[in-house]
Order: sequence, then structure tokens, then C-alpha cells
Amino acid sequence: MVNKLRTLKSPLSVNYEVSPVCDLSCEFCFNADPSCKKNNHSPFSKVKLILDALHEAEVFEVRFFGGEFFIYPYWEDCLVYANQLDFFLSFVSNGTHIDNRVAKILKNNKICGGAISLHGLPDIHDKITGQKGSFELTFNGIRACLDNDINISILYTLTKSNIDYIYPTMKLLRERGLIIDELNVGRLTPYGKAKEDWESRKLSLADYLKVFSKLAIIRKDLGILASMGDAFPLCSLPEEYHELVIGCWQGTGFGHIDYLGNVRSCSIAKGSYGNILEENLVDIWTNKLKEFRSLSWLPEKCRQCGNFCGGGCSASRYEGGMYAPDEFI
Amino acid sequence: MHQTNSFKVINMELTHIPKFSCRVKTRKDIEGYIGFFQGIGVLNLNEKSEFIVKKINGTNTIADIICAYEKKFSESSECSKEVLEIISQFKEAQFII
Repeated sequence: MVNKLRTLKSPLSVNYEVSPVCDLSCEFCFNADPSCKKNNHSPFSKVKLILDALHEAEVFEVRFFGGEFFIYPYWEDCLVYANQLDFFLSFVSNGTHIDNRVAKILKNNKICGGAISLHGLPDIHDKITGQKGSFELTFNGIRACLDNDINISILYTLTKSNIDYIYPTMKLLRERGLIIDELNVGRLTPYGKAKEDWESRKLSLADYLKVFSKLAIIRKDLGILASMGDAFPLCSLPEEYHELVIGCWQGTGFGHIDYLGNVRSCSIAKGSYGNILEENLVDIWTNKLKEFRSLSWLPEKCRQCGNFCGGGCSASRYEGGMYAPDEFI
Repeated sequence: MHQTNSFKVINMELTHIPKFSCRVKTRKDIEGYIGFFQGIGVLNLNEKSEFIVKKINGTNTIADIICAYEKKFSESSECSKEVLEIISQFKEAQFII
């Protein structure tokens, strides 16, 4: 039996990068493109065309993504238009622009959950984002969402500077009155800014093993569903940690659409399988990802594995391109 | 979700109106159907279970669903049982409130 990934006619859920522009400068951001610091937002007419194409391909869920979605000048129009198309909607944000007014608009557009990035205790978070005071802004954004019954999952990208502070950060949120249900830590990947000086930045397997033990403690002590939000090769982990790995469904149920309409299977790895403003998404999804889904690029031990986990994170290997075997296999 | 002959059928009144605990959408895919249950997960569906999912809209009673199912799948001799089995599976999995 050789493992391979199932072909669906289109993604079930997409991260849609409405705009590449972001006002924070996270030291590891996968997007090092200069466009993310200029105000070159997509025209709303293009956003509508992309949403129409996703609707035509019967994508169920759109997660508004960036850049930073909430600094896109027409973010509210995006929500209204996407809602008219009857998508399930969600968002990924740095949270700094979310206040009570914004949260109410989200709620009015049937958004009941989203993900907000928070990368450590206040000083650490501010240093990582390059903006003093960003922790407080993000904290207030999370609070505004929770006050409006919008469930928030915290996204915590691991770095050498914050790896030891996951528990203290979640404890601080609790002490300050934020009842968070879910935490997803993300792997540091060698794309964008993190690629620079990768040898000194990268985390070892021993580092990650330490993280898994912390996640287990957070689940037990704080009652937060703490998980590894990215894929991780299960064969490199003790069995007790397997349930902590959410995994990844890229290339089957999950896809990424960038602000130009380019289709990827992963939000981190660059490249394009085609553009949905030029080609039908169903054609792109069913035809252009055949090699990826064949898993011919994975080691034989993964392809034959009876406990197939997807082979870990295909964006974790240095110079891995659009996909490559996990750095730890 | 596929039917199994051994699945326990939960006792439900025919006047009961089943309702999903989340928003649900379905689509026909390359192989069969897929149901997307917002915030809960994804299920593979066959034609019959997809039909029932669409009928669980917070308005139809179980009797309404059986009636519609009988019209659509008239070749089946056990329509009531099939509908109840599928709804029971959703209920046991806590997809239905």
C-alpha cells in the first residue's frame, strides 16, 4: 500500500490573502516581499472577482488573511460581499485594528471565530513585531472579539526568543481575564524574513520536543486546547504527543489564494499552481497538484507508512521551494 | 457518513424537528459528496445521507424528511429505517441538537 493524497475538485477552505500589506514587521514573517510595506492594495473589483471564482468552485470557507486584513481599505465590503456569496467566513489577523466596532461588524457578518497572532509576553511580542505597544493592541483586539462572542484561537509562532514563554503568556492572558479556548503554535519556517540567517534562527527537534511537553501542560493546567498547529512528522515524536499535532490538509482540502489570485497549497511556501483570474480553480486544483498529491517527493518510509501523517510540514526545509520533505525526516 | 445495518437507532418522535448545531453546506465532489460542518469538521457523504443533510433545515420534521426520502429513493424498501439510522448517527456524534 502506497500512501497518496485524495483529489478533491477544489479546496474546502482557503486562506485568502486579500492584501499583502501589513503594518507590523514580525521578524520571521514568511512574506519578505517589499509589496507588504507599500500601500499597493488590490482594487476591490479584483477581490470580488476572486471571491466569485472561489464561489464558482464551491469552496466552503474563506479565511481572510494578509498581510493584515483589517488595514485593507475595503475589508468591510469584503465581508459583506463574501457573506452574500454564502461562504463560511473567518479571519487571521494581528488583532491590532480590532476594537468593539470592528468585532460587531464581524459578528453581523456571521463570523463566529478567527485566529489572532500573539507571540509571547508583552516585551517579547513587541520585539518580535517591531512595534512597541503591539501586545496591548492585540490583547485589546482579542478581548473585543471575545466580548462579542467570536471565538479566538491564538497563533504563536515559535522562535528562539519566545519558545520558553508559551505557558507564561497563556497564563498572563488568563490572569488578565481573557478566557481563551485554543492555542496553536506554529513552526518557524525558512521563508521570507526567517530565511535570513536561518542557521542561527532555526529550531532543533529537541526545541520542539520541549514545546510539546509545554503544550501538554497547558492543556492540563489551563484547560486550553493547545496544539501544534502545523504538521509535524509523528515518527519523530513520542506517541504521547501525537494527539497534540493538528496536521495539515494542504493540497487536498486546504488552499491559499494570494492577492493576485495565484493558487498555492500552503500559505507559507511561495510559488503558484495557476491564477484563478485566468484559469478555473477546479482545473488548477485537479490537474496542477497531481505530483504533489502523488507524494513521490516524500521518502519511501513515509509513502509506505501505516500511520501516515502527511510526512510533516512541507514548508519546513531550507530551500524547499513549493514543497519538500520535513526537515526532521 | 455511511449507513451501517448494525447502527443503533435512537428513539425519536416523528414530529421532532432535527437541527444541526452548526451551519452546514454540502457539495458534490469527484467521489461522492462532502459535508462541511462549520467549526466541527468535514464528512464524506453518499447520495442518500447528503439528501438528508439538506432536509435537516430546522423546519422539517422527521416525518417530513422520511416522506421526501421515500419520494426520492422509491426503490428502497426501508426508507424510514434508513433515515432514522442516518439521523441517529448525526445525533450520536452531537452534530444534531
